[in-house]
Formats: sequence, structure tokens, C-alpha cells
Amino acid sequence: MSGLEIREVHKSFNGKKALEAVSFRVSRGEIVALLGPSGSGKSTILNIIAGVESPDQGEVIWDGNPLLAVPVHRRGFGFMFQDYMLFPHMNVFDNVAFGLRMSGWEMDQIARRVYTMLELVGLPGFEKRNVTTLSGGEQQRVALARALAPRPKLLLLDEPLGALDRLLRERLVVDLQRILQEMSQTAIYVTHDQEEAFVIADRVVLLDQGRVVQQGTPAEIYWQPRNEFVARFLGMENIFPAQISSNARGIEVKTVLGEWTIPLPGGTLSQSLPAGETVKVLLRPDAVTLDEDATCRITAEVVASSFRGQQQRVIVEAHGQRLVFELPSRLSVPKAGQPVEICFEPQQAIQILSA
Amino acid sequence: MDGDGAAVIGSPAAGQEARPTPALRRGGLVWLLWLPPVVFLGLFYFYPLISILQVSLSRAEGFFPWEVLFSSSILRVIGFTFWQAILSTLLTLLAGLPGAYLLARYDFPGKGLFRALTAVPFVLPTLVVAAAFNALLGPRGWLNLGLMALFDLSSPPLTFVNTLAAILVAHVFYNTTIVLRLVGDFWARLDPRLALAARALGATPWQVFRKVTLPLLAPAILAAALLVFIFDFTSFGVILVLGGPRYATLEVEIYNQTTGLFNLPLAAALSIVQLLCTLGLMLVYTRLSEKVTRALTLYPDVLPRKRLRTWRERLAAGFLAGLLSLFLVLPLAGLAARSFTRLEPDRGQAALESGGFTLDFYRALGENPRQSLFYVSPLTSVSISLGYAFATVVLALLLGIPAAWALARGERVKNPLARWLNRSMDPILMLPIGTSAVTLGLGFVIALDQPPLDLRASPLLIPLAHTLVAFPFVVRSLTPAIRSVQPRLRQPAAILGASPGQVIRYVDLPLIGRAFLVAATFAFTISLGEFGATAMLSRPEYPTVPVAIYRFLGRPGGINYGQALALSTILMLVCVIGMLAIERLRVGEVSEF
Repeated sequence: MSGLEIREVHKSFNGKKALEAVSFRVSRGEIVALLGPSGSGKSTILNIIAGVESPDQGEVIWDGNPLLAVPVHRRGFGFMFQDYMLFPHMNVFDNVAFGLRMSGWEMDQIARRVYTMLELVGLPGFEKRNVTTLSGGEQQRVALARALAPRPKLLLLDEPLGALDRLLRERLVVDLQRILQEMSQTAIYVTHDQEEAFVIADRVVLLDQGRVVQQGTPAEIYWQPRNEFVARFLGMENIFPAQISSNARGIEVKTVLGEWTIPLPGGTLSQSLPAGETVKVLLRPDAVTLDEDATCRITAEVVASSFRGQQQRVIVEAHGQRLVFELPSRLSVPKAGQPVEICFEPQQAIQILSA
Repeated sequence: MDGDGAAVIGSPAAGQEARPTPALRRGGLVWLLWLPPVVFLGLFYFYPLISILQVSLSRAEGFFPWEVLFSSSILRVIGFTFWQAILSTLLTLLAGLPGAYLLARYDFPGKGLFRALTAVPFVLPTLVVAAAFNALLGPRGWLNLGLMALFDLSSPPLTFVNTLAAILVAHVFYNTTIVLRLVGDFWARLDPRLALAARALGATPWQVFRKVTLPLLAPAILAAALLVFIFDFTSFGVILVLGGPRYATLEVEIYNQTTGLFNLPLAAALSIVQLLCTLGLMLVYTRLSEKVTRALTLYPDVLPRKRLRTWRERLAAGFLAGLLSLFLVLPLAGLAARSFTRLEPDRGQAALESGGFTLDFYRALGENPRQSLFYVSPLTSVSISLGYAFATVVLALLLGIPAAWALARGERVKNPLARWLNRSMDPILMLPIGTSAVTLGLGFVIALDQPPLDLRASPLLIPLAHTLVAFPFVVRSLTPAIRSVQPRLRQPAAILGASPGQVIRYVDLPLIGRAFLVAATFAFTISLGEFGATAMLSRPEYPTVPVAIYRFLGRPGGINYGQALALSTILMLVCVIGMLAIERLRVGEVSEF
């Protein structure tokens, strides 16, 4: 297996569990995002891979060789930080050249490599600049050039855009993705922002309280959130209890809002859903419409609606249940206090979440 | 150096703007406020200095002092002054840097106490420190007496007093705090992830230290080293008492030439050399500390510190903190304990009759053993010191309040002349700090014992000298407090229904009152411990406590020695209490160095 393998890693700090049986892989050339709220253990994993922390249990393996005994500076991994950590006593050139000097490159090779890297990140001619006078975005690019210059086997990025404002972040994440892909750089990208993770990553590993809760491509995770935590983390809030009334041809679920039949979910989930079992279901906020031509399933009362550009967010209440939907702005929504018909196809809109 | 705490060197806390009152806008009041401090500095700082210069240039006793200056013996003194200061500085860095790292990067139980402990030596008068090391390592100290008892020796086996080692150890004892605080505070703001970034780029731990950590710490280390160097360069009491006759620095040589040989022209020439050196060093230090302040704005936050996790870390930290604490506490504890312990037979007695705990040394402080007319009992010296200290407090406050007021309130005065006055007075106020105490004393000796200003017999002579030393500290502690009393703070109080009288009572006074207390305590402790200028000026019949300690240390006999230690212990206690009071009362903005 070429690339990185994290196998059953455990770690606690002062008796508090930070990581529990974390396992995942990163193939060569792949960009994997570690996504999760703060405190979920993302940075601890990154520190263990970098060699700053050591796990209590488990293995970190690169190309089949165990890594844990290798000190930080011999691992040959790059590291990028949220606040860049540029060396303030060196100019841009010396910052980018630092790793090359450490690995004993020739002077002229260093110079050539530094110019190439600054070209790549879009900062040609910045060599002599003092890093403390650069803007946040420029510092971030220098940090990227510095991390990439020694051709790291693996690049670790710890919320590298976290310190920037939203607009700049949206632009830079695309640049970053292009650069990493151009260099077919193997990378692990830590973030708490799902949009950033979805844009940049080939695969996403979602973490909660030190455990991996789901991994897959961004689309897999978005369309099939495995459990309530994942769904809520992705901003889907319409989650309510349901009872399985039949498990024959498709599953019939019974909720306070109605009874619907949905196709059998694949995998092991369907076997663990006998009739009578209570589960949680998700009504996807993006899979409903107010179009009277479709089959409408729920009559609700509008609580509030807010305009968000392309989308509008509509909050309604039905049978004491509060529901939130993302609807196209073009749809006209009744005023607050008015009734509204919510229309959807259960096959697309209703998903069963595992406990 | 008199251990007066360089607590206030450095830029005054700037930033808050005071709105000028109409009178100040006209600029007239600024001139009026500056009048007393300017007259004072003119009469008691510049006039004496000019007199020193004059004397040094006069061909008085058949020789030109500047020729003697380049004689081999004087060149040796100058050389030794630099040599011991360089050695002391390097050793101080060596002792302080690991501790600075520990304080900057780790939290551990007892850290607050450790920090407080390390600050103690800094406020102690030099004579107390000299006496403390004497009580620990001197011929009558714990170690020597212990070894003599243990191995049945007839003479002390260890020679510590009157060696270079004694000077160096005392200097390290004094100044380690500077390194701990200056470098430690700076280090605490350096992100440890900078080192991690370097490690990830392939740097070994040693390369990280050399290429990243050390260059980033350099301004702080240099500033600390320079400050330590200045203190060591102008060190007086330590060298006089612990160095003995074999070692003379410029400062001691000036003293000897003045009091022993009455060669005022040569003393004056040496003073000028000394002054040029220290002022030059101060200038470099001011530049450097500006750089440090600038760098600190780059890293405004003190970063979260680690706990000690592994046993190896705990052991190393415990060892380091323990060793430093021991080094700082042992001499002081030894001093206090020795002042209550009788370990040797009295004069005329063959063997020790009653050893162990005794209050004899303290009792003897009030006695006059030979009923001599000219004898001044040590207790008298305590009351003399107290009298001088109170006079110094009054003088320093009388002069410091208008100066601090002008500095704080006159910042935005429109009148260009008044503004110029404010700007140029600020560094001039600090000049006495950059002038050695012995030089100040010499200036008084030369200038103030003849008309037009003959103060030889005036009881105010010594308080005036002390005021000169304390004045910069007083101004530095008052200015931020006066600056913090602003219309902006008064308005909300008035809106909340406070009458003008209530505003003064509940808003202005509590703010300024504490600063007054801090300033007064500074002046008080500085005066109590001052030795350099006092040694030059004090008359035999009016010794201060440090002078009395110096005399007792120089006399033979266990009871004299014990009295010196008892006096030192009392002085130490007063100074430590003073320091604690200052720490307690300080209004946040006063910078530490």
C-alpha cells in the first residue's frame, strides 16, 4: 500500500480521550480533508502524523514502513499552519529556501527552486520582501511555497485559510486546490468548514469527539449522511423520530408528520431495521418544493423566511415540529402565519439515519 | 549599582492621551511645572558634573590628571572593570536563560512563588547582598565554620571573600532576574509552532535553536545583557566588600582616590571616563529596548504554556527551578539565620561557651560597649537612615509631582516651545540613572562644599543625593497614573451623579493615591539602601545603615560581625516589604524594566 495509513490510533490527554481507534488511509496523490468541529481531534491527528505528538496506541505507516520512531525533521512531510508561522526575521526568499537549505541543496538550485515556487503561488518578485509587511493572503501563499519547496512526500495543512476573511478564503481555496492538483501533491487538509473540505478534497474523513464517523467522497457524504451528527454538521436540521411499520418492499416509516415508503437502504443498515424499530429520519432541506403539481405531503404554517441570494431559508411548523428548508428564491412563499403545502418525493427527501 | 531595581527604565507607558486644560493649552503652566525639577537638576546634577569636568581639567597638584589616566595602574583598573562586567554578564546569561525558557514555556506548581522569589535579590541593597554572601561563604560563614567543625580545622578552608569568584557570584545573584524577566517575557510570546515549522522543514532541534529561536530572541537577550552589563560595570558595594583590596573597578577607584588619597583631580577624570561609558551604554540600551518593544507589538499575546508531562520534564524543571531558588534564597536565609546564631567564641574567650540561638547581636545594636563619646550605636544609624529616607520621600515627591504632571498633562500642548520642553525633558530626567552613584557623590563632594553652595554641614546633603537617584523612578511611577486621570473617566462619574468633590474623592484620588504610595515606597527603599553616593558623603558621626554595615564588616570580632548581619537582616526585611508593597499597589501601566 503506497501512501499513508493510520491504524487504530488512540490518544488521551490527562485521562481525557482525544482520539479513539482512528483509522484511515491517504493514497499517493490524494487530497484528504479531516473535517469536524473544534475539539474533534483533527489537529491531534495531524500532530501525530507530523511527529509532534505520539499516540498511546496504534500505528502510523508510510509506504508500508512504520513512522512513529522517525523524528519530525526526518519524516519529509510539509506543514502549513493557520497563522502561517513564517519566520519573521527572514525575508520571503529565505523563508522559502529554509527547507532546501536544511536538506543541503546547492545555492543555484535553491535559487531556481524558490523562483519557481514563488511563480507557482503567484508571488513572483516578492523575494526580498519582509514577511511581516505582507497581507494575510500573501503570507499564506509564502507559507504554501515554503512548505512545498522541498517536495514533501505529504503536505499537512492545519486550517490554512482559517485566519482569512470569507471572500479571500473562497478564492484561495480554489487556487490551493489547483496548485496541489498540478503538483499531484499528497495532502491532508484539516478544516471545520465543510464547503472548504468539499472544494479541496478527493475524500473527506469526518470526525466527532475523537472518532471517525464517516468517510467518503464529498458527494457521498453530502447525499448520504450516515447519522444525526453528520447531518446536523452539514446543516440539515429536519431530523425526527420514526417507527418502521414494514420492512418488506421498501421501508415504511411512520412519523408525526405522515407515513411514507422509501427504498431499502443498501448495506447493513437494512438488516437492522425490523418492523417496530424506532429510528431517526432526515427530511432533506434541499429536496422539497412548494409546487402544487407535485405530491404534497405536509401542511405546515410559515414561521419565518429569509432571503439569501439564490436561496431562501424558510422555517415552518407542522404538528409541533419545526422544519427548515432551503428553497430557490424565485418561489413565492406565503407570509408568516399563513399555511403552506410542503411537497416532496419520499425516495429522495427522506433518509434513515443510523443511531 | 545599588539594587534599586531598574524597574522603571524603558519607555513611559504611552498611548493614552490626556486632554489639556485651557491653561495648559497656553503652555504657561508647563513652564511653571518644570521650574522646580529643572532648578533641582541644574543645581544638583549638572552643576556638580560640570565641576567634576573642571577639576579633571585643572592642573592642580602639579600633574595633569588625564596623563595619569593612561598610566598602567589606571589602565588596569579600566581593563578589570570591563573584564569583570563581561564575565559577570556572560555568567548571568548562562544562569538566567534556562530559567527564562522554563518560565516562558511551562506552567508548574509553585511558579508564582518562584517568580516572586527571583525578584527579591533585585531590590536588596548591595551591602545586604555582600553581607549575605559573607554569612554563607565568608571566613565566618556557615560553610567555613561547618567545615572547620567537621574536620577540626584551625582556619577557614575556603577562600571566597576577596576573590574574583565572589564578585562574579554576587553579580549573577543580583542580575539573573533581569534575564529571567526580559528574555522570559519575550520568549513567552514566540510561538512554539515556529520551531515546529522549522522542524517539519527538516531542521534538527539544534538547527531550530540556532536558526530560528536564537535570532528571534536576540534583541531581548542583547537588551538584557546590556542592562546587566551596565549594572556590573557600575557595581560598587559588591566589589568594595567582596572583592577586597586586590580588585578595584572604576567605581571603587574613584571612591579610593577621593576618600583615601584625596586626589580629586584623578577621581574626577575617572568619573568622566565612567560617565562616558555608562551614558554610551545607556544610549545603546535605549535603542535596543525600543527594538524589543517594537518586536513585542509583533507578537502581542502571551501564548498558552504547557504543563510538565513526562517525568523527565518534571525532573529537569524541578532541578532547574530548585537550583535557581536555592542560589537566590540560600544566601539570604543564611544571613538571617546567622544573625541569630552564635557559632564562635567571643574575643578573649578560648572556646565557645553558649552556642546556638542568640539575640545578642540585636541587643548589641543599642549598646555603646566602651562608653566612647564618638561612638555611634547601630540603632542611631537606623534612625539616621529613617530620617534621610523620609526627607528623600518628601523631596522626591515635591519634585516628581510637577515633573510627572507636566509630562502627563502637557503632551498635547499647542505651544511649540512648551512641547519642545516636554520632549527634551523626558530623557534628561533619566540621566541620573545612567550616572553612577559614586560619580554623583563625587560631584557633591567637589561642587557643594564651597561657596556659592556650601552644603557640607547640611543634613540635607545626603537626602539630596538620594533624591537624585530616586527622582527618575518617582517620575516614572507617577506619570502613568496622572495620565490615567482623564476627563473621559470623570464624565461618566459626573453623569452617574457624582459631585465634583465626589469625583475627586472616588475617581481621581484612588488612582493617583496608589501611584503616590508606589513612588514614595520607591524613594524610601532606594534611600534606605543607597550606598555608593552615601559612602562618598556620609560623615563619621552620621552613618546610615549601609555605611554602618560596611564598618562593622571591616572590624574584627564576632560581635561586630554579628551586628553587621543583624543590621543587614533588618534592612533586607524592610526592602522586601517595600517591594511587596510596590507590587501590590502598582497601577498596571508601569513597565517592569
